[in-house]
Amino acid sequence: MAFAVHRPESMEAVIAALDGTASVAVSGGTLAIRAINEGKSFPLAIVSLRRAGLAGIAQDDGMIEIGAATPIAELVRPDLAFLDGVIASFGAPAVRNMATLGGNLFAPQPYGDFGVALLALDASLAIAGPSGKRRLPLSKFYETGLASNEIVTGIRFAPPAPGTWRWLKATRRALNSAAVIAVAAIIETDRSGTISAVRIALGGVDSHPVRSPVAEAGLLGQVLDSASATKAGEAAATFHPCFTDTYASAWYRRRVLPVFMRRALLGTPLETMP
Amino acid sequence: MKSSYVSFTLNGEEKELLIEPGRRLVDVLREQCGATGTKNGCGQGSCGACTVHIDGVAMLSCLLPAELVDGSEIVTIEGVVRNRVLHVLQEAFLAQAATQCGFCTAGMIMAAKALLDCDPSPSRQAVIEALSGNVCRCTGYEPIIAAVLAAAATLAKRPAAAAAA
Repeated sequence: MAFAVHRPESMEAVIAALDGTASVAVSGGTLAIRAINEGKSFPLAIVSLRRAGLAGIAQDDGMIEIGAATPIAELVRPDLAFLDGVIASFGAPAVRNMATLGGNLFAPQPYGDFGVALLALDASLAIAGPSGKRRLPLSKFYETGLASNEIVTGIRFAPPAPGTWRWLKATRRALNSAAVIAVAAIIETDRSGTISAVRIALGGVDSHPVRSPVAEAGLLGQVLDSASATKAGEAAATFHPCFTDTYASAWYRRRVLPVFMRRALLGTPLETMP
Repeated sequence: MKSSYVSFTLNGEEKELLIEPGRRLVDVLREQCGATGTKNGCGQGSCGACTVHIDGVAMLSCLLPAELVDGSEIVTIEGVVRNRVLHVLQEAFLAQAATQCGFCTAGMIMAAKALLDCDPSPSRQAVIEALSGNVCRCTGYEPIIAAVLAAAATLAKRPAAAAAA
């Protein structure tokens, strides 16, 4: 166990407490404390984000800004109803009460479903550290990570237009199960059914949640139907490395990706799935 | 590496305890408070055996350094018994044989109570979802689901008991 547990009451105090020692920032604790319990992490100090004023949900200029330390369970609200499917497929109730949106960005694959959803939303992060505050696109965050002693303080995105959001996760069990494949997408079609804008993010295919440029390129300008969605999924299955873990083999992930891409994009109700 | 004082309410009783840095709430409850109903299962947040209510919210006490619950109101399985009378959920678990080895039972009941506290007449699917983070290796879950539905039915017939629970 750690030698000290700090409970700073402001963002600035969090940054100061993180400085210098082998400390770890802990938000909900479902990843960081678990790692300590398992003997995989040995921080000298735990710096809790619980009291630092980093929780809460605000709207301005049509954008939604969510504090990094906001528990997943608090995302269940009418103005975020499009996220209900992500929340329902995420962990179990007690984990959702503890785990936070910011913390989930640090979850190793095949966890981190909100990273997948937020990539499709083209979210950006508010980051604070010893040298001040900055903003970083989530896609960049997965490439560069954070500098020493920096923390994510908030997540910002535009809510999807009605009817454009898609989320589907292939799992081993119906509930509380990590992603075999997770598909998040925003897809807009014009009057003729041609795809005019599309963002697709995937979980279960790489070392972190990723956008799928090949799937997006394959769909743009096409008519959204079973054939085009499956083809985009096949392109993604070839392009992304996929991986083998206790949930599924890389072969299986590549095999089901086109199927779940099609089901995600067409919004096929579960009961009628082929 | 200094210990610190942490105070919280445990099942209605004020506690002030000297805590080693980062000691897990589950260990504090079991070893410093004698509240051994809460079980230490996986230490990963995967099994739900250590579920307790912190300020009315179900959380996993193996993932909480005790310093972080300073000032909180904690309810454990010991706290659902009132005046030596078992909670409706506990009676239902007995009646439905929803307990075998019993290791998961405290966590199951705390997870089920969190559900009934906000949804007194849940659907079967809602019960399954509420218990999805609680692992039982004996019963096969069906008696547990039946017990929670039976407890909800009992509460529906006894509105006074529901208010007191």
